[in-house]
Amino acid sequence: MAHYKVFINKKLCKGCGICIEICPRNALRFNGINPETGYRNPEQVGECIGCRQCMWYCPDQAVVVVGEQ
Amino acid sequence: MAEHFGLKYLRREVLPTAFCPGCYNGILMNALFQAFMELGIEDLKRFVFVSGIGCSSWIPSPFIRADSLHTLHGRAIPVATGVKLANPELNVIVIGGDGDLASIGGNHLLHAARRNMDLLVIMINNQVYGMTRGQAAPTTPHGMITPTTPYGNPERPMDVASIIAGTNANYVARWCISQYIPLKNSIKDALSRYSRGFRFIEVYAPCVTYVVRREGKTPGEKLKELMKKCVRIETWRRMSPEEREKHVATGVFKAEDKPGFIETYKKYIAQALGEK
Ligand SMILES: Cc1ncc(C[n+]2csc(CCOP(=O)(O)OP(=O)(O)O)c2C)c(N)n1
Ligand code: SF4
Ligand code: SF4
Ligand code: SF4
Ligand SMILES: [Mg+2]
Repeated sequence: MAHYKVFINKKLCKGCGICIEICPRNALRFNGINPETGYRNPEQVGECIGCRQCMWYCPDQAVVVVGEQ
Repeated sequence: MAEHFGLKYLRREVLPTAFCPGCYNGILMNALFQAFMELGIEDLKRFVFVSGIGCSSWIPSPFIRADSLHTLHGRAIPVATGVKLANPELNVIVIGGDGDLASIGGNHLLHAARRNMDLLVIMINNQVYGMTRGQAAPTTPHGMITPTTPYGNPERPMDVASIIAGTNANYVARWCISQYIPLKNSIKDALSRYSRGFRFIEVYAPCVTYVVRREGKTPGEKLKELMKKCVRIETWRRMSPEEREKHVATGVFKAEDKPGFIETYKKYIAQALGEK
């Protein structure tokens, strides 16, 4: 089974929460405030099925989903 | 670390964008960039972007790594027409708002579409004048409270895609921002299978700050609501008038491949010069 990892670009993320709310697996959660931008950044906390909705719907090009076979 | 597919089309030095957190303009950017990527467009040297004034007019300029003209409010289409006539080899894309393209620039839109001018026009219908703080636009829903309609909008919104479908435009579609894959595929079609004449894509994407937040919703909640609210035109037509008002009709309204203005114009010039 494929495993997927979600990377968040903390320089671009504006903490809007879209990725967290759109994820069908609740795989993402906010984790503290980024002192450099003042925004909350998400991180991966659960299993990702690689649907890539977080990547498409992140308005700030801040999400990359990488599949590992 | 792996890189986002959109970054190669962006001027990294000006990121993040000036848009509010969660602004749906950025989702349209993803769909546009994915369309470029899937069409094998590596850089945008053969493209020129033209925009007017408004938040959505900022999408090409300064963010997209390509030549762009950031013109006057409402005047993107006449400037884009000039660019295309001066150098027909270029792909000319206009990106702008509902206010810019359908209100102050409405007559330019109508007549460029009537001419079947060789342009791709992407209109972000965010239902308001976002940049100037959310005043009512010709696309504002009936009853919506805005700074210029404090008791609710007494008017009803214009259906821009249907109006443009009634002209000689070759390609007309409307998608909600929650329909990422069809939106991306539609942009691809408008740059490949239908690469001539006037192509118009309306993107229904409520302003996150002045529509979505005012409704007390998060941008993520609103996206999920739109996934239910936006239906295909065929489904929408079967609905009662009350049901229709609660939904957004989406899909391809028209897809033809008639010669665009440039081709027809060149033919006439050749005739006038006595060339056969
Ligand atoms: C000639 C002129 N009139 C009015 C304005 C003020 N103005 C700036 S942006 C804007 C409306 C923008 O709305 P829209 O095109 O829908 O873009 P949005 O910000 O919603 O994306 C207006 C009225 C202007 N800049 N120029
Ligand atoms: S790819 Fe899909 S499952 Fe994985 S984190 Fe993103 S939205 Fe969730
Ligand atoms: S959608 Fe993008 S900008 Fe919004 S919280 Fe997620 S990573 Fe950050
Ligand atoms: S005001 Fe609205 S359209 Fe403008 S950047 Fe903010 S959310 Fe986007
Ligand atoms: Mg607008």
